[in-house]
Amino acid sequence: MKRLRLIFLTPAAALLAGLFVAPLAILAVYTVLTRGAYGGVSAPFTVENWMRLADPLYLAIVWRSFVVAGVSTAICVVLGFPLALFIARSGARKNLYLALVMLPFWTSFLVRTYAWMFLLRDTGLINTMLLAMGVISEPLPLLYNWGAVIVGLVYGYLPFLVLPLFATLERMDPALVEASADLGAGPWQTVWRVILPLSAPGLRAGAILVFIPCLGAYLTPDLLGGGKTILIGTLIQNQFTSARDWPFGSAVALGLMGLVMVLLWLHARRGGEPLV
Amino acid sequence: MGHVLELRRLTKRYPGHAALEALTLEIEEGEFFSLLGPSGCGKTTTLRLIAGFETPTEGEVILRGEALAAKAPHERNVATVFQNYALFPHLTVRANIEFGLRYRRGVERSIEPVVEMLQLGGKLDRKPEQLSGGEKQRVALARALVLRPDVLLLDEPLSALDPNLRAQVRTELRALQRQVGIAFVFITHDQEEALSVSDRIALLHGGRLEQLGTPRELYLAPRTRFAAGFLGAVNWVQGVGVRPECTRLSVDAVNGGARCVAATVVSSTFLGNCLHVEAVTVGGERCVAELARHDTPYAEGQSVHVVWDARDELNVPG
Repeated sequence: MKRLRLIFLTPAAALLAGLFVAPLAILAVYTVLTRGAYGGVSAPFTVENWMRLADPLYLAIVWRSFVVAGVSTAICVVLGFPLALFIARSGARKNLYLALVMLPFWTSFLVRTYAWMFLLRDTGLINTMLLAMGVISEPLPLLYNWGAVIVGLVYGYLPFLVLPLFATLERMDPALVEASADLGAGPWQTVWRVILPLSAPGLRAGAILVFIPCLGAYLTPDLLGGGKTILIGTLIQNQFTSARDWPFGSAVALGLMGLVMVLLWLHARRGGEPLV
Repeated sequence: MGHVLELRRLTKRYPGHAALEALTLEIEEGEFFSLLGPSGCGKTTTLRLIAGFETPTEGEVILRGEALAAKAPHERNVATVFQNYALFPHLTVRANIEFGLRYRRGVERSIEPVVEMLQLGGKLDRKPEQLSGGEKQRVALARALVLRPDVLLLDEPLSALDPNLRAQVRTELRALQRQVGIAFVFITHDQEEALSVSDRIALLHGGRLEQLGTPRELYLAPRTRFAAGFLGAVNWVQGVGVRPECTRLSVDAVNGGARCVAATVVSSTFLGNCLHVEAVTVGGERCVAELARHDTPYAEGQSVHVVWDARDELNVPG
């Protein structure tokens, strides 16, 4: 039995060790080396890369990333809570609605982000329609700004909030909602005093699942922000490409990972449920 | 005393079946009223219609002279004790009991009298998960009673309890109802429970009212075969019904007064407080006699006579 378990575990363990742990270890070593002239790394060892993270220039980027991720997460919560509640209480159609929530995953995220560009650009669907209807006389600047980035992030990560929240809401005893009404609480008060507190674990899990990828997002800010919007993800990408500063890029990447792990630890400490 | 709650031709139909068909009832002020019946008889539907969780297809619920049709559950001055109590798991016992106070005007603000009555004083800061089944039930009662509802609805409140506890709790429940004087509408499928606590019982069957009356009336004078059988065991011999406790056995034929039918003993079961002897009459009817345990033991295959008094016959039409 024990032997069989070992056999089954080995492929996954080997894959993780080779393709996840080893690269991370290499990355960790990079962070304390000096940048090479044409990329790569060279001696000597230094802690300078970590010190540079405290540079106000980079702190501003980290702060901005937190704000963008925070705003996106907040919008996801505001949109996702009613949606999850609606799906959880829609009886036989539940599975259909869940399938619709997951439908976007059937196509590549890149393709869907390009679709947003076609919608938002000056000659895009929205502007063309508004112009044709005479609502506006010149195109609205919808693309290549923070608004577009947040729209893209909310769109992309909303399902990650809805699914765990739905799971929590569905497990909730419907008699609790009835008991609340029975004791005199109106629908809004029931949401506020019963449903929301009881769905907090799912809400927190969902918020973390949205916040973390938003914090490190690269594709969406790059395409919808038009490169004018530097976030942590863009910063890391720049260090490994145009700036040719692999050690610093590694330090930023590991720093971000550390932050994420602190968030997860806080979630677990508050009795949070597993994220997947 | 007038009636506090009135159901007028209350009907609930779902696609394909009727859960409740034209139920008309009046529940008196301060009455302990039971809705009794097997699962699917419509008793839970009735309770949900009164509380407002379901909308009637036809008919009316009238509380203190006021039709409730347009009122949402939170606007009705009734309170429910749910089958699994539905205590809010994130709130303490105190917060659970106080939950409804802010919504009901004119209700005294203090939970103390109710807490004392239900002996929950030491548990106020606990969470529901830290309570025993009996304590949870008392919290559910306190949470509802503190609102001084016109009617308290109880949805099989004893079924989640340990069987050893049930008899005791139902006695306490009866005493509590007398003390608070609020009309209780008690739902149960257990005839012994209904008989022991109720002022009146409505027996429901297939969504219809089968019989309405006091426990005595229902047990001693059932009007249908179903009512007779649901309230207790019945032997059907020569077209009449006799309860096992009114059925005797005799080796010799009995003359004068008593009814007597020849039968053969099939089995004899010792139940501790009594003896159940099963016999088959010459007409092929199976019947059980509940005998005192010191009665003569009867052997399987023995020829006997099943004997009963005419006054113990249940006069069931049809």
